[in-house]
Amino acid sequence: MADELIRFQSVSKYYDDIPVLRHVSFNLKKGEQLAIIGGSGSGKTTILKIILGLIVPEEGEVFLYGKPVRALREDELNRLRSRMGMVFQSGALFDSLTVWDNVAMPLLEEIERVRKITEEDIEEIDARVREMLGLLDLKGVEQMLPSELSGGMMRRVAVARALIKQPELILYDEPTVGLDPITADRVTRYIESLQQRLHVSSIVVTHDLRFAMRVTSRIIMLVKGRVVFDGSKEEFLKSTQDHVVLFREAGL
Amino acid sequence: MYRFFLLVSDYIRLAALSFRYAFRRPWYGSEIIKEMDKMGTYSLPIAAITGFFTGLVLALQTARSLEAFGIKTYIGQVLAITVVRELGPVIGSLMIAGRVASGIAAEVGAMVVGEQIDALRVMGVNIIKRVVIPRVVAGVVMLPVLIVLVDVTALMGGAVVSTFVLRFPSSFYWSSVLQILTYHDLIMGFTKPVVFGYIIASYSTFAGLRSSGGTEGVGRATTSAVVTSSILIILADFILTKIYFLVLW
Ligand SMILES: Nc1ncnc2c1ncn2[C@@H]1O[C@H](COP(=O)(O)OP(=O)(O)O)[C@@H](O)[C@H]1O
Ligand SMILES: [Mg+2]
Repeated sequence: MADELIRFQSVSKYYDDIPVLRHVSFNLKKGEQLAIIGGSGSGKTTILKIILGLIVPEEGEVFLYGKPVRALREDELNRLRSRMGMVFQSGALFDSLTVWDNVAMPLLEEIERVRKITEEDIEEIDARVREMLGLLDLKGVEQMLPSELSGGMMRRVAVARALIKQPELILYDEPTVGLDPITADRVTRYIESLQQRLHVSSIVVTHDLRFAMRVTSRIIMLVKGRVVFDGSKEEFLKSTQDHVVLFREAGL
Repeated sequence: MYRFFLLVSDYIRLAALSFRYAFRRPWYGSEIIKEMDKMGTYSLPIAAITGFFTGLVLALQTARSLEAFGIKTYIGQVLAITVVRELGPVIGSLMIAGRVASGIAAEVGAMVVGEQIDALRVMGVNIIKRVVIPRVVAGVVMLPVLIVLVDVTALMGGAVVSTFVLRFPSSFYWSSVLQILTYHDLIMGFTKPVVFGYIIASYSTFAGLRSSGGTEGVGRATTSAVVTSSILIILADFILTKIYFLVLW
């Protein structure tokens, strides 16, 4: 159990009595790379936000690092959150801040909670931000605003911000949605190489099956808030389950 | 009805928490300055125009009534009291509420829909400190400043009528304005906008944070911010006026 990062135990979530997740159970081990696929509105984003403690489910139990989220205090939750990085679907960058400020923000916030930021802090953070931007081929955009970037670059900046604290678990919410095929392919390649290089655990949420196949080894499929498939990529390709067959035919 | 109580209790909880967190690290000083600057630039022209024309119309109407009693020389006194105690703070705050409350609710709502609020929470940022308190502080500080502007321009509107319609020398008008105003009027006139500023900023931030359901939800939050904060201002004005009369006179 020590190497288990996440466990969902029969988790259900409702909005105005309408179920969006129904008895979802799965777990994620350290180092595992998982894709959650499903049509839009199937509850994929909701799962990620429950993992981060941003949404609280009505039923079931969620464990992070073996601890039930329900029982955690705010500061304990924040400590666990700081070991995770999330790439939001819309990027969630701050429009009025430069790329540098956006990427440095998680580090700056961490220091500011306890003390004033010093010159040395800034130098150290600057080095880390530049290294991270370099890793994603984003050199030279430090002082630009998000609105001055292309869609693909914005996604990469969002990835840089999620990775800056070297998280043990990375959550991606539809990182290729809304991008043209060529840009989507580039972003996919970055994520693919990060997955291989960093060896961290990750959950990639997507409705793009080809993308899922490239960046992960295990697939969970959601239909209307219910898990209809959980297994390896190979099993997914062989499965004769109706939902899986339909999704496969539409997506590949 | 149940939902209504839930809404009220959430709002009160937010207000209480923002008092509690206001004294703990980290302080987002630059956020406060940014919000004050925005509020000022948004509302300055509105405050000036509202003030001046309210003053003009009020003076014209008041002159008519005073003339009927043969006491139109009291124009300065009557205007000063009405504007400083009541009309400046209330009309000014209502107009500013239209601009500021919708601005705040739309901005914060967009941050909810754009997931920036979620991103902040994931970074361990306290939303009350980072999003709510800067706006509330800005509202509480800026509203009295803006209301001074409303009052001054309204009295200038009165001066125009007094000088060019009633044909009194303008020094006569200004000296009667200054002569009638007491500390009590000023206390009343400048503590009201502090409360109204609090109402506008806290309620509209609250409405923005509660918005859900995409851009449509942001629209609903914006409308509710303007309507509800306007109603709360009028209610608070009644209660405050009652209290002032009990305590000060
Ligand atoms: N704040 C909310 N209020 C009401 N309904 C919501 C809210 N957030 C999400 N939903 C609904 O929950 C369902 C699942 O949403 P989501 O997890 O975002 O799906 P996905 O990411 O798979 O597209 C959708 O039908 C959506 O409309
Ligand atoms: Mg989604």
